[in-house]
Amino acid sequence: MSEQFQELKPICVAVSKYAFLPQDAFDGESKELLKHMRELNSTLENIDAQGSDNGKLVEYVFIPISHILNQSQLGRPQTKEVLRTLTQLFRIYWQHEALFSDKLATQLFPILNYLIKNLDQPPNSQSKIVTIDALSIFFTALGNQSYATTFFTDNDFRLLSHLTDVIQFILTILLETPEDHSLQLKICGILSELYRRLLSHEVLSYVLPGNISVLTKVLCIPGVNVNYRVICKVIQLYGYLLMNVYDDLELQTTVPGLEDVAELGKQEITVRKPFRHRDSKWLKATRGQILLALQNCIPVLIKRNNSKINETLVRMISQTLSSCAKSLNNCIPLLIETLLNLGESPSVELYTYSDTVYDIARNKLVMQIPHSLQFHVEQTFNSLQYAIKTGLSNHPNNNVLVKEALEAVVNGLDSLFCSRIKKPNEKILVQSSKVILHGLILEPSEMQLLPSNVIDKKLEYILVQFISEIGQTFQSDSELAETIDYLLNHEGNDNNRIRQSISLFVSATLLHKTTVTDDTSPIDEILVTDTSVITKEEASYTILEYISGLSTLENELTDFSRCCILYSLNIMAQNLQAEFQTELIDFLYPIVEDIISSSPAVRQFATNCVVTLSNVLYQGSIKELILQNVDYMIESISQRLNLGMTGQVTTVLMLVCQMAGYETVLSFKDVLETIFKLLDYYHGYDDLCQQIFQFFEVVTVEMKRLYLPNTDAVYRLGDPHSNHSTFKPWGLTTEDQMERLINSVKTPPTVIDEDLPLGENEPANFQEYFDAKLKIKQEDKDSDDEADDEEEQLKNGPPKVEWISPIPRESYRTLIQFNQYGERLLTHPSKPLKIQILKVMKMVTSMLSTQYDLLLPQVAQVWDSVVRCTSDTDHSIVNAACETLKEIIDYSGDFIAKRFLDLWPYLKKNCALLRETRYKGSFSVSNAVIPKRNFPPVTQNALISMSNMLLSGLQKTEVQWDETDVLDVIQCCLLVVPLRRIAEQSLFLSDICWCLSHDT
Amino acid sequence: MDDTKLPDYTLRAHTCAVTTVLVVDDCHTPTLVSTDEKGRIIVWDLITRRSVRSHQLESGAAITATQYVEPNLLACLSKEDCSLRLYNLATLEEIFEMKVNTMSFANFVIARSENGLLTLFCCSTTNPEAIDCYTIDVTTKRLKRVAKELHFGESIANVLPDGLPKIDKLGLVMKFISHDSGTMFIGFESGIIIGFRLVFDSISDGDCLVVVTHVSAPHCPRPILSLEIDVNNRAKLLGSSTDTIIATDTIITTDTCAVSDMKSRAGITTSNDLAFITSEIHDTHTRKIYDIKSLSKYLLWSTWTGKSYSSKVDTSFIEKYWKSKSSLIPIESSQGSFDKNKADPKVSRYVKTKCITGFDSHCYSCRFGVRMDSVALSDRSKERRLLQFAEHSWYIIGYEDGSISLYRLK
Repeated sequence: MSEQFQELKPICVAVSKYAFLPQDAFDGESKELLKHMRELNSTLENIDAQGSDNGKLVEYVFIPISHILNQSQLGRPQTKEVLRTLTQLFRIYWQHEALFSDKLATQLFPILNYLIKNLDQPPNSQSKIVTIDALSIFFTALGNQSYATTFFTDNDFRLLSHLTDVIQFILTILLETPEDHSLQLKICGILSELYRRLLSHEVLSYVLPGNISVLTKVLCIPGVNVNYRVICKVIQLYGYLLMNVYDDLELQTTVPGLEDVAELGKQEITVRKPFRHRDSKWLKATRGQILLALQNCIPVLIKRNNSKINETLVRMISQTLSSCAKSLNNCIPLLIETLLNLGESPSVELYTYSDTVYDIARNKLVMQIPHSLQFHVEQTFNSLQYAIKTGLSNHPNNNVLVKEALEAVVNGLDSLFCSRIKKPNEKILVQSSKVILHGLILEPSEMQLLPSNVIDKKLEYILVQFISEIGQTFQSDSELAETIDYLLNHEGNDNNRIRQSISLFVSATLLHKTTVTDDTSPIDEILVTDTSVITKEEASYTILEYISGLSTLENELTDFSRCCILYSLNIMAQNLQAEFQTELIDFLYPIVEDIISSSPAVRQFATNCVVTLSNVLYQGSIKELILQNVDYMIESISQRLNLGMTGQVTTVLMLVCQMAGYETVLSFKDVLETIFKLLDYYHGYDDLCQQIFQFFEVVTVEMKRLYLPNTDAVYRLGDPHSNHSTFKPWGLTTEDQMERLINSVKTPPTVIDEDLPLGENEPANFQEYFDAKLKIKQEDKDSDDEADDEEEQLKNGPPKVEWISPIPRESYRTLIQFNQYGERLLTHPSKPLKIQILKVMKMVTSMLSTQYDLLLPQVAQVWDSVVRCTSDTDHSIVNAACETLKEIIDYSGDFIAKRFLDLWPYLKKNCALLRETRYKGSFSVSNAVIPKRNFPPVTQNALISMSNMLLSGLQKTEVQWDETDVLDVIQCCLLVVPLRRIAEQSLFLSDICWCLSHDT
Repeated sequence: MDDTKLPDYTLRAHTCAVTTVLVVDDCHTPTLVSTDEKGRIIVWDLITRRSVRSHQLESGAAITATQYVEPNLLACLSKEDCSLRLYNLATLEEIFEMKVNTMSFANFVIARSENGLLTLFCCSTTNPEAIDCYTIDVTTKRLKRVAKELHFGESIANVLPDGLPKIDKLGLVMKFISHDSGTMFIGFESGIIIGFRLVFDSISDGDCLVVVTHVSAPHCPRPILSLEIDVNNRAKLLGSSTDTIIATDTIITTDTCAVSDMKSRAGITTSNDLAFITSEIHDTHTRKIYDIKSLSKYLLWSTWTGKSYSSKVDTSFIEKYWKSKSSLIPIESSQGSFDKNKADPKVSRYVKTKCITGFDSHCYSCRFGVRMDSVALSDRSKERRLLQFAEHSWYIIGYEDGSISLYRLK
């Protein structure tokens, strides 16, 4: 006798005392019995399941138990203990193969059912565990026996009825115990054992409705109350049930005309190999229920958005589709839609259901697009993208669907724009040109294209992914181009700039390469390009042509449109790579111009575009991009100027000029001429004029850099070899001048007529002169073209003079034009313009002085206008005017002597600055040293400039002055300039200063 | 701002006045050759709108006339250094140079003659009223004068009708042009146009006969300023002068008559039945037509005063092209003026046209058969632009400011 037996014997004897009692004496609720039962169970729990004597032990133990089971009544705790004992008996013996007889099983199963029903109703958690453990081990034991598959047959309705009860019981626990997922998992295990090993498909069909109903309820429990592992198990059970009960092969289901999708619902579905329960009638009756059940639970499952659940669901759907596509063909649309929603790759080939996919995509997903855009439903785009990419790649109407989808996107965005975007703020803040000229550091960055109040950045990202993935599905360049053409030339686009821009955005995104990520190396990019199925060139050019058209409406374009254009150009450049080079003709200028746009978004998109272009075409060098294409930029600028479109033109022109130098300016003299014409026509617009004079400043600086590279003060005070004194030959200051004078006397006097050089078409001899006269006389008679007569007289070029300036005559002429236009516009009321003009004049004067003879007429012309500026009430203008005057005085020598002498009385009379600041007390020699006064910086600067100018002029004219006036001037200068510095200017001034400081 | 047509685009690289523009008609990519007053030659790709190569004469002499002689052979005449140079267009390498008389207005013409050699017709070195003919062997760089100082005056005196204004002589040679038939035309200062052919003696090497085949005087006594073959009817010769008319002469292209029917005088032979051609007159209402260019559907011309015009062949509507200058004329005199607002009368108000040419869409399509499927995939971008360009004819004008503007003809 084994030790275990010895241990069990007294307990069994004790139990037997109660078990063998006659029915009327048996107390089912005996506490003693309960105690012994518990004792028995705890002993049994310690017995190893593999023990050799287990059979005898079980037999021995089962005797009192069987008697207890024969008793008419048993208390609930005692029932629970009996169940436990049975569980232990199954564990240690009956569960093993061939050890659980068919007979015993047939006896025990109804008893188990009875015992379960005898427990607490509803069962408490303890009871549930005991019951489930018992059933679990019972079905496992059953499954291990040879008769497992035949145990439950539709011939034994008594057993089936018990089975139904048991299943109902465990399903109820499954449904009602969401908090205990380990119990639920155990239940799933029992069900799985039942479905897989014990019940035939036919028997399963009996329990199917109830099972499906409860399983559906479990799946539909809202929120995340059910553990995802339980959900996955339940889905698997669900799938197993459907796959086996509705197996097409087993039932040999036929669906006539399956290929006709539209008629699906009307088909007579037939089970060609009917079973006792599962026949055509059954199929028709139940499959509708299945559909309803699926319709209820699938949306809930998708909403949980759990990857494991999704994975299981996809597997379940795949299995269902591969096994029951005919029997459950009413569920196909739902299942396919679910697959599209989940976007996971199923094991079935989705394209075999392409008609269904098409139907869903067209009638549901596309319709949902506007709504999805409005309420940010990303799922729609993911599903549609998956449908088009996976299910419809070979569908004949794929293109129609794609067009409709894209059109829906355009429509949706357009209506969102209409409802959410107010009129754009037209006010543009003009930037300082300096900012861009000096800060050309361009960093690309991702930026949202669509306004954030239309859709958010994440949805935009999803949308871009969606559209670009669709773009990858096109089979040929021409198909893609045709779709793009359809989008761009849609009738709704007419005169609707926003819609045009949205269409452009969508079209360009179709060509967007999503496969290239930021971290891919250039090699990878090449590989991606090479493996690309289609070239997309035709499509790219369709878009480029559209952009060309759109760009011509420059004034009507909003910032959003500009951004769309730049975004599209960026993609086109990436697509066309080196081929985009020729397109720079049209597009480089607008892109560069947008870098200095007032809108940060436009600036950023322009920057991204420029960086892409420089990467694609010039190894990342933006400078090269501009320098190599200056001609295209200039041409674009010229076109705009000719059309009177000024915008940022001059700013870009400045940029080009600074980068490419004055050599380039030489080749676009016609553009300069156009700018002069702009000044002729639009001189009333101070902003424009100011920009133009800023440009003149840049040109002047560049010209100086080219022709006078190392000279700051060139030819200051004139050519040291020649004497410019108005009283020459008096006034010689150097030996060189004397030498030149002597040489000039030696040359024989020239006849004036001969000295005049010949013009280009001037007659060289009398015959030609005569012929010319004759010609003119004859032509006078033909008065058909008046302009020609005038032109005829204009043949001759400017008189030839000895050219000594290092600046070529053409460029010198340009400087004269700057000067003359400046003089003309000095009467303009705008303060910044005046200051800018004076600044240019100051620079130009020094350069004009390189051809001294031609400087003087200029000085004579501008003198009065500049002097007038000194009487301005604005001290900044006075400052600039005085600086310019000083430059003129410095470079003109004593040519301005008379004018300068007249200047002082003018200043005394008209200059507001002098009136404001002048020392009021009577000026006498003794108080020459005027106490220092503090002025505001603007006034101080103006005074300093004026003093410097006056002192320069005094040096030139010294002795021609009345001494009282000189004292007057010095008094003015002393406000800001120390006496010592004045004295240093010249001997004459130092004499006067000495007198002032020493005279008491 | 301008009251006339704006250019569709402008080519900029010359820094001084453009002197000649020439469309190279045998390149698949429409190509333009331009020259300027400082001796620069630029070859342009009209599609990329860029200079593809350029050459600078060392002398810096202005190039006054150019001719695209035959594939890859470009001839340039520069007045200041009296040189005619031949260039390989593909490289702009100079392959031949010779001195010629450039004292008069005349250009020159080079044609492939019956003996297979290039024949140059230009003003005589000793007399600008006569012409010299040379054969040039480019490979051996040999030059041979085959006809010297040809004076046509006496030979044609009998042919001139009585009604013409009295002229003592033909005057300076003003213009040359060659015709497909091998006939050369010369326009003279007196307004007479003479056509002649060179007939080479197959036995004696290099000897040739000068046979006059055409005499007309549409502009007499005004000088001939321009000659052009009508593209629409290549048997028509267009000529202009200082008057407002463009005269059209019919070119007789029959073979040269038998020598027995001819009379010879001063080395020049005229057929007995040589007849004076009466010209058709077309009044353009614009005077001093300096340059004419005939395209398939258009007639382009520019005047001495620096303006350009175009008219469609079948309409009388005239389109004008000129660029006005800004109103403020810079004072470039050291003498100054008391009246600041008075512009210097010696300065033109227009940027003058210096030379014209045209791109003929019809001729181009006939030659190259432009279709989209002919486009090479390798450079679609450029080819696409080429198609767009070749769809239209273009008026190409070189201006005194160095710009070359292209106007699409509609």
